[in-house]
Amino acid sequence: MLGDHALAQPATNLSAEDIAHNINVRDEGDRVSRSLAMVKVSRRGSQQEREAMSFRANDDQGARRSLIVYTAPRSIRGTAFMTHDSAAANDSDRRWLFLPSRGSSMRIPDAERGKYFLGTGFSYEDIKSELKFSARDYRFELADPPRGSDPGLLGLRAIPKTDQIARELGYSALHAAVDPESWMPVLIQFEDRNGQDLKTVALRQFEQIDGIWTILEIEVDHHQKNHITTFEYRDVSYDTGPHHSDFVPENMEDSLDWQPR
Amino acid sequence: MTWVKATVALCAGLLASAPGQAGENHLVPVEVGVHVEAAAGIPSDRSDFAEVTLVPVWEGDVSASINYRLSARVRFEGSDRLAPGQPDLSGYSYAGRPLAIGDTGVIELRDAYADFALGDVDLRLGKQQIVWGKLYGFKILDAINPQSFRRFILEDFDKSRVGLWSVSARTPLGAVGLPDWRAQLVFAPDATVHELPTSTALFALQAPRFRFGAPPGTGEEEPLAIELQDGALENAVYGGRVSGMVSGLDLAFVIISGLDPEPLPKLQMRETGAELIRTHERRTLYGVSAAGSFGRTVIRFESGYSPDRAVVTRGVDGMPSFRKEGRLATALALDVSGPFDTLMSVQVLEDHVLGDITDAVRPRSDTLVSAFLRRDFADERIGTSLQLLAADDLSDFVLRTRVSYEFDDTSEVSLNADIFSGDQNDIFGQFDDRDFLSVSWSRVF
Repeated sequence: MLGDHALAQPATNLSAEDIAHNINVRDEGDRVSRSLAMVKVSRRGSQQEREAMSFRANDDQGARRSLIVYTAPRSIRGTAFMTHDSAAANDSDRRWLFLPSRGSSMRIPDAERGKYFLGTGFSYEDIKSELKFSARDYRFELADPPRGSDPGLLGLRAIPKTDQIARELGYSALHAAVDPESWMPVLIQFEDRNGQDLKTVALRQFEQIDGIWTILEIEVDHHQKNHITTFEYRDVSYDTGPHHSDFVPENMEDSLDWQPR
Repeated sequence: MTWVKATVALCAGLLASAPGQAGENHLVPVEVGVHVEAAAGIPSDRSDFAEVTLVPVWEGDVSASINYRLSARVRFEGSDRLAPGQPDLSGYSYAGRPLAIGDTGVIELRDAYADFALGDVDLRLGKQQIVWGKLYGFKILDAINPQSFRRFILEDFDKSRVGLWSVSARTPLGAVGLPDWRAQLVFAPDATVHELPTSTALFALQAPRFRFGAPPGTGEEEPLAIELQDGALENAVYGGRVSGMVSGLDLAFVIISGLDPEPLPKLQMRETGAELIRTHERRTLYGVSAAGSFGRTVIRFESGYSPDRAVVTRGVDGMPSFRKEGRLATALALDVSGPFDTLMSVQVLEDHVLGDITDAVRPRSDTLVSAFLRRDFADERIGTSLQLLAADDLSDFVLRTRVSYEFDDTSEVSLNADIFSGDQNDIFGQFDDRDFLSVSWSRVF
């Protein structure tokens, strides 16, 4: 059921670090391509819809590279966001944004990972990390699962290791309910830097595709900005799409032509 | 206008024959952008104008491996002030020239290219824009395509950059042990140069440095005739770029050889006497750019060296001429993620002529500064920005403010103010009496 989770351990008597480790070594496939439908609804009822393609490739050392390119609406079609997630502990991740009106990719400050991704409730880091919590950024504590979680889920609390990291992420802590079968955090409550409720991420639908636990629908309720963003993934295809070396800034202008292959 | 007929026929054939999805009508654009703008001069009517722009776009697949993009732009100006009378389109090559519709309208092909791959080489063939620089608002290595100055430098570069008929080939360098590097070659046999406003236009260039040294209000009647060398290859642009990443830095090395799009003076002997015309000389540009992130700051660097770039001179006889000298332009930029979700960007550019140019119509060194501040509100529906472009000791500048509101994903309204200050002999001060406030509305269908 758990695919290639060679390092996964039984859910009983696990330390917080074990749970975080099992989340982080969750099999995600070497490559994936998928389409993405985003809907943002404000408390006042206004609704924004976006469509995108999402690609990711990992190299042999586990360094991840990903790209999201908007396909609709027309006003933002071709806008692309690329990340290089370094596998080296002393190396920071890298990010680029491509705006069709500018015609070339722009480097984004590494420390801007806590900023919101193009108006959604997800931060750049949320988008990149895909519900994994880097041991470079967090120390972990066991905790009861957040109130309202299904019984049988494991509770995990993650706290940024330094003030600098907390500033970059925009969080002072997160509190997750983790499914011990898939090692998916199915509910995550984030606190802002003052310890106030910031947002809640809920995994609405996930299932195994090609033996890999796969997010199909995820929702973020931003309590301070008063809007809810839903990401719905479709046409998920593993081991297809661009290769690791295709994820370079110079290729972003053509990313609308990227296809699963 | 044979080329227009040929292009229309080619495009119509391409669109009609494209085997896209069932029920898809390729003759109907996938997008039509509409932009309406009305501007009022501050405080006089010196800068009043109004303009409507339509931008239809066609995109699709000819086959599984060939994509195409066609876009046109149709502009109608209400007041005929940006280009009074018939627009001067003499800077465009025959194949790239827009079509004037009376005195106030222009229709042009913006993009017309196809993308396909030959092995590991990605090819783009057709009329296109190629952007190599890392700067915003200034250009050093963004030197493949010429630019339209009908609104000086106030238009976004993607709108003012002039597409060239060209071939661009890009390939990864993994086979030679550089997995994150790419090489790109460009060949553009299209002798289009900058589109410059005529002497009666709203943004007519007044500063002597842009008019072969003639003081404001004097000089030859414009537009001056253009003379180029014969032959497409003699006037073509050749370019190469190698770009990649090293230790967290984005690096690019560039070589461009082509027609300098800036005009040079030439005295042509006629039966009626000497006549001043415009000409263009080739120049070579070697450049490097780098960008890296350091915490909350991105540092960008760009430098270009031309060993043979022409400088306009004016001798003691008062006659304009030109001489080739070395030229080095270098820029350093900082982008900082500021407090309250602001984006701050500062750029400093130094453009230096190497060699003795005491008779030149421009100073030996130009220092240009730009500062940009942006903040969005209400879930990014409201955008506010402030931009300062200044020269020398900051006494010569244009201050640009913009407030925009997005009604939805398809329409936006904005209020813009552009305030110039400085001496009429200066880069920005030449428009000191042409401040304006404009309202624009854009919609994508």
